[in-house]
Amino acid sequence: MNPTLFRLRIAYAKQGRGRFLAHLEVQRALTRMVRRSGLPYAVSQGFNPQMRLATGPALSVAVSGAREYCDLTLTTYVKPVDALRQLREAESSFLPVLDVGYVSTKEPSLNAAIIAQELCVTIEDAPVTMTQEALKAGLAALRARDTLEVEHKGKTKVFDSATHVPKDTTVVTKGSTVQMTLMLRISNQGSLRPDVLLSHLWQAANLPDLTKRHIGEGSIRLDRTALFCEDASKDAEEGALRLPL
Amino acid sequence: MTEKSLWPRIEPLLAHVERPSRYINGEYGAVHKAHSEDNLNVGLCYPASYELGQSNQALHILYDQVNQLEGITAQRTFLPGEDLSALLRDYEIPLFTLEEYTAVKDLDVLGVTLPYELIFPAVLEVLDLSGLPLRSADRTEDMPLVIVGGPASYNPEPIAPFVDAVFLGEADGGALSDILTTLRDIKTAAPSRQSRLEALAQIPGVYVPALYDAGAQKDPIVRRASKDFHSANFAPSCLLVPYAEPIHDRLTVEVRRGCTRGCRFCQAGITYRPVRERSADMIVAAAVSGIERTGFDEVSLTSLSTTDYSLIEEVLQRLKRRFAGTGVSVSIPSLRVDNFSVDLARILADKGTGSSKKSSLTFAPEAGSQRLRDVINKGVEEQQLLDTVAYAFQNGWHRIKLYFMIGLPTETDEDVAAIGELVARVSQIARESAEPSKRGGIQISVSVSTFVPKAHTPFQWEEQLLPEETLRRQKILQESIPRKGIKLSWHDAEGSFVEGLVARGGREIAPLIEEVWKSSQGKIAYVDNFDFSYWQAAADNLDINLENLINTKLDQAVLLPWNHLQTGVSTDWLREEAVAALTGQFTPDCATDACSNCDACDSLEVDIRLASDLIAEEED
Ligand code: SF4
Repeated sequence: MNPTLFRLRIAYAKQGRGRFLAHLEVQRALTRMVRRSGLPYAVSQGFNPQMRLATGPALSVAVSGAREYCDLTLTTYVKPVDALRQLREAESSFLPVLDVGYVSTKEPSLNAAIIAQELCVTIEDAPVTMTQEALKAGLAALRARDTLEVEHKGKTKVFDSATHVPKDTTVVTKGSTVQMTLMLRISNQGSLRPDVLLSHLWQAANLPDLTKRHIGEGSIRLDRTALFCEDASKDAEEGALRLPL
Repeated sequence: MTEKSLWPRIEPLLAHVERPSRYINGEYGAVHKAHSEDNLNVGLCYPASYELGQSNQALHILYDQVNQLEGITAQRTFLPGEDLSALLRDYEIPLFTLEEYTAVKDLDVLGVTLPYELIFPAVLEVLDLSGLPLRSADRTEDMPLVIVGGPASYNPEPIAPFVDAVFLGEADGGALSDILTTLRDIKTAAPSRQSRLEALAQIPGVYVPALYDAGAQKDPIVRRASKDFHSANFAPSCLLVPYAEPIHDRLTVEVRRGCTRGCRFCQAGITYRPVRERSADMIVAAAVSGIERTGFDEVSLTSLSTTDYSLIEEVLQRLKRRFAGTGVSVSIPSLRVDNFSVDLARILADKGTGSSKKSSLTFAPEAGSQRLRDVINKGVEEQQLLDTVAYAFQNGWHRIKLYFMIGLPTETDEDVAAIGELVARVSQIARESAEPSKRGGIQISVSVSTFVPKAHTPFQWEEQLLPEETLRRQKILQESIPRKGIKLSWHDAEGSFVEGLVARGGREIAPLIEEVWKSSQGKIAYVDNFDFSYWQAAADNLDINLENLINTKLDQAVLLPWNHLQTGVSTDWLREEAVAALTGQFTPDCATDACSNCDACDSLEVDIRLASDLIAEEED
């Protein structure tokens, strides 16, 4: 690592109609925001120098993110308040910048550091049988199996239930809308996709297969509400989590 | 967004379509004007996907210029993907604009760009998705006026019954504002459709087919050319930064308009006369501020032939210095066949400027024999091509692309075979010139299109090949071309045939276009790959024979379907050029050489402007 480089972590949201953006589109929009901001970004070596900007775990199309992160390498130190102001002046409406702060260039990359995500699932016109008890029982039933098998592009992937199925969920019901919050693991080795977990969950909880819902039958929305790193500080408990910034 | 917004109805569909980011608007730089009942609401439509349309420079210019007009709003609309179009029809949601999600049918004006002839059926798809009757005569008072323009509007007769007005020429430099402010100023008086059309017909450059047919518009319609292209206060035309990745995902800076090298088959070479250039300072400033304001990582210097821009080397060197170390690259769309062009490519390919020698260089000799290159006024000698290729390979490139055409006037089988022979010599020289270690990686792509005679060119009366003959000549070519290391591709014979059918057709083609749209159930509007079977089926349904319908060769004495539309270039000059073609006589480029009296400058009241002359003027 070049000691004269600085690593600025940017917290931003993917929101509003912007939740329909694909991960690559978010990445491109972020590099453009940075170039507009006038911050002294570093570029990679080689024939096609690229801005050194690394994003965290990808969000799928149609999933919003309340607090996402990317790391930008700078060639000179800019006071965080100034960097934040410059970025905000250049941000696009669907990807507002929330906060910035420096992290050590020695820390692992965002993708390596982030190990958990909190997801909020909103089901409109939910079936009456979709209760907190039913969903909790569904999760317990999934965890009771040793593994979950997932077909993806013709290949079968096997996930260990104990690590990948959340232990618990909080469920809030407002009229016919059910909101369920889940904590899921993310790992470089492959994470269980939320939509796959959900389709298993509907089955295990004896609910109708909501993935087969038609347009107009009430939407199912996914929002990522938080991302977490492992808290490796001395006095932290085993398995404790902290925010990336 | 207003209460009329269709967004709440569109949103639930977006989880079910590919790349929904095309429909979410809100791009950085998109303009949203305050809503007012008196505003003239103008839809700007490119009748293809967002990715293609958002890459179109004309759309950028129009978007920017419309929004600068007081009381007029620009709202973009594109042809949705096939999946979304089907859903819109299922749920009875009309086609919408991106900026406000208002229904296209509620706009005052729908401006549609016609980039090429084969897009005409897509215009019908746009009208139908919008819930508008296809034919102008069937549209009612409260419906928008459909105004088309762009490269394929110089013979608009095949599409005339479907449109309300055709604009000929460059919309920037005054014409756009003439049209839209006229309509804005009368909007509050709620004039009838008829009187709006009459107002339009008064504006130079605007053709209103219905009034022309009725004898109410009489004089020929003359193309408009921008008088202040070189001097207008110029900023990069559009600072909108798409989320969904367009085909050309970059800032564009138009450096030069017009090309008068005089290739006799080329329509753009006629319809953008005379040559006008922006100053080097203006271009550098526009590129630098455009990158700062958009954040793009590439700027493309555009024109019909950017290497002909008189100060191109200076501009490239300056931009290279400005963007050093920022990861921003500069590109130019096409190269001339000469060493100078390779030198320019070297400037662009230097380490740190983004583009690299891994990319290929493209040259367009167009014809294989010297005789035929003289016929088309290409002005490229074989030795020049071989020298240029040698120079490129000596300088580290190992991929080139060559463009040729078959079916050009007077072409013989020998001329076709000459393409193969020329490619063989190019391939040999490439091998001899490349570093021995790189020889294995040499790649020569040869792309062959079929000549389609276009309206308003010196070749507008010439013969168009029928598919069978095209296939026969393609076979000769295939046999004459070396196999090793050459990648050969061509335009579909039937595609060129249909293009020619529409390009020189009259009103009689309109029912065919309607039928092809109808019998393909709109599919023709979407397929990227041309499908002739739709056209054949449409012809069968109408009980017509396409080969009888096409104007294969036109008589100089017969009135042409586009006779009432003028580009400023005189028909006499076109005739002289057609004669010069037969004897292989060279007509020089008037931008750098003598005027050949085509009459464009006088009739349009626009002069040639070169950036190099602008400097000389300042020094005087
Ligand atoms: S009138 Fe002369 S100078 Fe003007 S475009 Fe024609 S040939 Fe060129």
